[in-house]
Amino acid sequence: MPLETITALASGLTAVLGLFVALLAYRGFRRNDSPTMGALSIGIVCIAVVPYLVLYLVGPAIDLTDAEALLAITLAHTLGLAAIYRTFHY
Amino acid sequence: MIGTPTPLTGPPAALARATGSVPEAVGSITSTRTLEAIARLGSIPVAPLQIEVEGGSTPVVLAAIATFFVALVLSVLVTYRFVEGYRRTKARPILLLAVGMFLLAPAPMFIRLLVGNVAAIPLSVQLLTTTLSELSGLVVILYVVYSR
Repeated sequence: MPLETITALASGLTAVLGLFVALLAYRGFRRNDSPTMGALSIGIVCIAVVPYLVLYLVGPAIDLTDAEALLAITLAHTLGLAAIYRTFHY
Repeated sequence: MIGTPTPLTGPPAALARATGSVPEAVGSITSTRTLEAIARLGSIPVAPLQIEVEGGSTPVVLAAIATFFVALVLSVLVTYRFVEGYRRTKARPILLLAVGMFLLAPAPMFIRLLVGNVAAIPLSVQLLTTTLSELSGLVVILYVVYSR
């Protein structure tokens, strides 16, 4: 199997697993009213799911340049990490 | 690095091209800025520094590089706060969250930063390494969240 195929499969698996972990964290947030779990849920979506969507779905669909897609991904990373970092101040 | 199919080689690769002093054959979208002012600095004659950006417009590339470094700093801070939390509470789930967060965010970014600028390492290997790091980070976080 070519390396590119393995990478694409691993990326898809990362996005699916990220969505699952985010859902579990969101459930934890709803059940325990825990801001850490809520932020973790947002953070994981931004870090693991959004980049996949930008790279494989939104990017090709609206014809983003490499730089625009890269900016969207790094912005998603920054927002997700900022959401997690904010909870440390509670 | 030049001539590779570009899909998102990461900011380090873009940065490598942006700081390259030798004009290189670039893709379809290329903008060149000559910083003659730098060349005029000092008394030693210096060849004009040329910055070439490929894959998009210069402001977007620079913004992407800047946000990449902001995200890198934030990821290190978040991981550090988890480690600090573990050292304070000695709670194993927090240590695992620190490990998971490290594998999910800072580790892939450092890999992109280091490996992306080494031409000897193929792009596919870099992408696979970062993806596997993120995947293992998510598995660790899944374990923590699932066991709560």
